[in-house]
Amino acid sequence: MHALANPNRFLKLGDRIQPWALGLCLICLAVGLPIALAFSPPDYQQGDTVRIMYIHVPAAWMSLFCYGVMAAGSASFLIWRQPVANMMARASAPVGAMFAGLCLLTGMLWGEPMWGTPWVWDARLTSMLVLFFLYLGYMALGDAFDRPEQGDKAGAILALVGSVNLPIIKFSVDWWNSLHQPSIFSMAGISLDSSMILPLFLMVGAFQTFYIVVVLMGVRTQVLTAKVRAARLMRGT
Amino acid sequence: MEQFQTFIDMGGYAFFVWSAYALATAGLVGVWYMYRRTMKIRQAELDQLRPPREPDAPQE
Amino acid sequence: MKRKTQRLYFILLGGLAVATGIALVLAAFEDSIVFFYSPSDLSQQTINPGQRIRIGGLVEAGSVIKDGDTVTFKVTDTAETLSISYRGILPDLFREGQGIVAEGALLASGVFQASDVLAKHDENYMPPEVADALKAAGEWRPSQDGAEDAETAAVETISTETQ
Repeated sequence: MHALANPNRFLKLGDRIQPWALGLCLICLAVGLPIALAFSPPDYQQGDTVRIMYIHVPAAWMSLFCYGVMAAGSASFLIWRQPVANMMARASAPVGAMFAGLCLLTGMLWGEPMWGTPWVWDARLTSMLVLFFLYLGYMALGDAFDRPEQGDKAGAILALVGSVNLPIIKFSVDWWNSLHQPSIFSMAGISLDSSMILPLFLMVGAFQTFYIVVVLMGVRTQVLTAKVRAARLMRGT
Repeated sequence: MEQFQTFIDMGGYAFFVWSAYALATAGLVGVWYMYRRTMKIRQAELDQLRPPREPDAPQE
Repeated sequence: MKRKTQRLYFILLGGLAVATGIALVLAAFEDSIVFFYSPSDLSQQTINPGQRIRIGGLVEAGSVIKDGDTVTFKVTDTAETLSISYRGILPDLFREGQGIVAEGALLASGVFQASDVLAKHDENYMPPEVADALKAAGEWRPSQDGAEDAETAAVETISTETQ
């Protein structure tokens, strides 16, 4: 684990992983999209709108996952001063925000025909919107200070405080009456017909590997930014 | 042809289903482009400040 | 104590404090976080006629009467039942046995006048053939978790006895 604490080593490992992740992502999309859009069956109640699930649910999971990385990275940055951890956290924010936004928008596109409304202020939808704003706040805080170390610290604290929202999102549908249905995963197993599990998991795989591809680019950007800053300091500009 | 039409129609929910997939495409491509662009910009800044010691293209 | 350990404890304590605070706030606002009441909740509370609330439950079988563009139906949580009157477009998922959430107010007559009706669905997804096969085999399990209390189960379930 300590080898990865060195940014250059981390990037070297990343360079080896990245092509594989990209390849896997493209394979998952090439196989998953036709199944999701055409070869999987419609739902007995919701017809073809169930196909929105193959975007909506992976996007929701990824938005939670990215925030989890952000919170864990922030914690290890605050406690152990690991620069790579902070870079991972920073690099996870924009893509996580995109997944959260995608989850919200596809949810509206699904809610309008099925529920009869694109939006309600129930616990699940509201806590998801809060997650989206946490991402935006985290990104804004990082750039809000003259000294980048202050921005890093402030952002990391926000990310940690905001992580209480993760269990709230997850359990909102169980704790309170909500319009949103409970999770397809429960103690009893997965409440999805087997013909629908494959496209869902392929899309999850596609989104997960896409995350790896872009987050490695993001960490590289962070490393480069630090180097640019150091070079400028050396020149005294 | 008829099959293709039913595929496009999505049981009458064409707008909702196709919009969702269009948004997903836009989101993925947009994020990928953005990450790549900022990375390239930073690299260019660094190259300008500190010319790379080993040039990428081998000289003949 | 090393500074790293100190920071670790500081963050753990801070996290605990924030989590406790949020939990207390959520518990205090429980009533406003709940998106809808069940008919049983309603009978236990005094709701003034005219006060806007949301009611959730299953559409009772055989209770849907369409009269022009006005629909009247009953929602039930298996314990209590409430009559609802609604004028407007119903969502595609609206059908007998379906979970719905109606927004509106109680009339003095005890009928609930809804201004909006939303359909609720559960987390079970399957192709129509599988649903038919399950029903034919009598293995239709409306809810994954039969031990749930009747109130939530009723709301989250599409009961088939009604079909």
